[in-house]
Amino acid sequence: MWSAGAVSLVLISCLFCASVRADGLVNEDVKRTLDLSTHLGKITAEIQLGNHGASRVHSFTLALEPELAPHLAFIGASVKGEEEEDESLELKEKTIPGQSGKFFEAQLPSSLAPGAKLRVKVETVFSHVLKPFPTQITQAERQLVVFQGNHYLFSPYPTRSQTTRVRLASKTVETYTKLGNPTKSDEAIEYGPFKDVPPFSQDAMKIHYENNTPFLTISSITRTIEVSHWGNIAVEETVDLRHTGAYLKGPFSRYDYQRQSDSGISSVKSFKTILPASAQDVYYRDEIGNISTSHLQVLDDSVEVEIRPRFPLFGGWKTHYMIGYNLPSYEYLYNLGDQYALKMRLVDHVYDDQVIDQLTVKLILPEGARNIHMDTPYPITRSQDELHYTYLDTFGRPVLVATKNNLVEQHIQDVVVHYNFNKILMLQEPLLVVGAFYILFFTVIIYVRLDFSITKDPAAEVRMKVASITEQVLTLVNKRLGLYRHMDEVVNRYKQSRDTGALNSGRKTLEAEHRTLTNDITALQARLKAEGSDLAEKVGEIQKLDGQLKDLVSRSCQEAERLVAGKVKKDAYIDSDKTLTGKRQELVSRIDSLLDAL
Amino acid sequence: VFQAGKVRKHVGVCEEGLGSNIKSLVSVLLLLLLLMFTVHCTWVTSNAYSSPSVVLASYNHDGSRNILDDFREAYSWLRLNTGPHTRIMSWWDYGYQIAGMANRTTLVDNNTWNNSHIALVGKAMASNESAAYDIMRLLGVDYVLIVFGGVIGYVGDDINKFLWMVRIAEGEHPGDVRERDFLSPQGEFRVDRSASPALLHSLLYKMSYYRFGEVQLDFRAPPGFDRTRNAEIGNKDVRLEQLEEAFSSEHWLVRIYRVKDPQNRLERNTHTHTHTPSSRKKINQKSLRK
Repeated sequence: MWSAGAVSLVLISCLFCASVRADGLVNEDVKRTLDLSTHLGKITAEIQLGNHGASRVHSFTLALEPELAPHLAFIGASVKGEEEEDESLELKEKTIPGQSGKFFEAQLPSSLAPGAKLRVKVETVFSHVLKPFPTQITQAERQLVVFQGNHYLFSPYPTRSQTTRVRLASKTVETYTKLGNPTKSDEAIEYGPFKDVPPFSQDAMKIHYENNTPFLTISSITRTIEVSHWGNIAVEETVDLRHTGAYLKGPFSRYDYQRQSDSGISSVKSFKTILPASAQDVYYRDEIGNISTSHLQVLDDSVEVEIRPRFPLFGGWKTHYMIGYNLPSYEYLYNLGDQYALKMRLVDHVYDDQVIDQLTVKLILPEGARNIHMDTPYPITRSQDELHYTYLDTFGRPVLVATKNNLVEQHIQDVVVHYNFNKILMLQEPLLVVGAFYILFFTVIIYVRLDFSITKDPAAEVRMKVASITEQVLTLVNKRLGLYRHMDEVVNRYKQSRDTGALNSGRKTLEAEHRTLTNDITALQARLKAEGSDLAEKVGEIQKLDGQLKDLVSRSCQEAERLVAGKVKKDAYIDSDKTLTGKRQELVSRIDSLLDAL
Repeated sequence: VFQAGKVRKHVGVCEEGLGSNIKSLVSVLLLLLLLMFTVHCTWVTSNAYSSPSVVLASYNHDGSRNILDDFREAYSWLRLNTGPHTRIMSWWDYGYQIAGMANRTTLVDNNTWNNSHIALVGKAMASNESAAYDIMRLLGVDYVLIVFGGVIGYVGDDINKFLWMVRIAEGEHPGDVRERDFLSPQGEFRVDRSASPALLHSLLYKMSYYRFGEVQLDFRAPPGFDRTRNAEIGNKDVRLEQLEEAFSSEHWLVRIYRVKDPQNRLERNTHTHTHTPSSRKKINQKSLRK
């Protein structure tokens, strides 16, 4: 029994070792660079990996120390190919039983043969690993920070030889751990070379040095991208910015800050935001109003905004602002028929070496977008889709909400959103406006035709009736007068053509129409009398005058006949004609005056 | 051929008078003129008659505009970098601005009808630092905000309003605050060397001119030259013991001071304002005296 237990223990331990050593990989030469010159810890390791095992290896494992692992913001690995080009490798997180820390498995593009070597470059960025110490400083003091790391490369494979180079932000170093007699040059410390370091080895490294670079952190940023198919994409970012260096202790003296160049040396006065090259209508404001302390510079490949917050940021101080701009949609929105694809940056540049504690991205797509699908370059947390209502919206625009924590500059990558949008729906907005106006005008048209009077006003009604009848009378009288003119034309033609037949037919038509018109006018006159209007008398007078006029017209007709027949001489005809014309004109003018009176 | 008669509805074209083309041309020209007048009036009114008093603008010799946004700078600093329950003491003119832009509690604001409370604030501004500190601890003040225009020549600052603070305080506390104490022997209100000692020791004077004695704005003028009063200040070495400078805006227009905890005391809660019985009696007696 004891031997069985021992054997099983040995087997398990063998298995354990085998799971790690099974690939037989060895780090032959490691050059590690710790870049501590900003407020981030950027660790780059160039590893020459050798396959000392018996079989081909398809992947290898990257490891992070358990103390640094929670601060990891970005990790990337690449392999130097044959053409000296870096090929980035896909990383997947995994766990190694019995070991704490974070582990990533990187798939090699081509398997590594036994005995072969490979150059791998691993880049990691850690946020909030430089802790200010002392935690509170006065305005005149300089900012000192502490970095606690590892002298060795934390790796699951043994390392034959490694060197570590630490780049600092300044020449002033308070203390640093001295393992293996490091050399310190101006702004760098060189550790190593360390030979034959076993796997998972850690040796505490602590460097306490001066770092006055801007220690800005974006505690939260909300990026809203509103897409419109009319050709515009509106981007707005609401930023909460905090100075995460050593807190300011004591007074803030504006005099010292302005007069002495090294007063408040770790404070941040301004920073540069780089916007996409086609950004227009850039605005920079906060809750109170517009902030005028900014400079916009349009360059060839970008738009640079130098943002100066309202007050300089000292340790522990924060500011809050909104920056927004418009982009033309043809640069970011692609479509094929009804399918659209939007390719935009998930997070954009705010300042160099940025650290975002919490990011919220809201993508507002046009109303009616369906089958929405998002391809992100790195894992993000999708929240519930929302609806956003703005101008001329009836059922709301779909909003994609995504959040992520702990982002750095390496996370500025494109996200692709696919969706379907029926082009007919673009008409919805103009049709809504047109429809609204249409309904308004239609309502007004109906309203003015409605009669809301409670009692009937008899006088007004009578007046309206009389007015309509009078109009009809007028038209008929004018028609009648037109008849006489027509008769004149017939007579003239007869005088020239001596066509009696035409004259007679003309006379007959005149008689017929005259009769009908006179009857109509008499009927109207009767109606006027029924309404009790005094205009009926005037109409009667018109009828009388008209009768006389008709007589004169027939007389002139007869005269013309006699002229043609030769019964009367031309001079006599002309005289009689003149008198008749004069009389007719007089009558016409009297009729006209009566008509005006109507 | 003679006319059968004029048809009523068709009015003949009058031969006399101007043509309709000329009429419409003149109307359109008049309309354009009136529209341009509207644009001009809007520009003149916005430039000459309605400058906002929160954002100050000055024009350089080349015509470019220089914006002084000190008020909003200080209010946004208060809004973002002080706790949500901090109490600000200032003169009542800035009460609404602090409440609106800085979103903080004030002691007195533009609509305060309680004259005694305003008088208490005025007394704090006019007294020396230790007496003012007692009043501020009584009222639970965390920050004091004053407006100082000596660097840019702004005439609406608190030193110019000081005599009014004194008069209002004298109305409620005639035994402690007397206007004639703050005037020079000749009866003038001066801030230079002939200023009265009461003025030189008053809290408002100290807060306004703290570190100002070292500022030399112009090489022709001496350091500590107040551009608003056009005088070299009397006391250039201002020391504050119970206040510390928390924030001053870019052109020194708004200055905010933090009220420090009392010295030589044990750790205590900032929310309880305990006093020694003797000092409380002193303050109550002073405020009761008419």
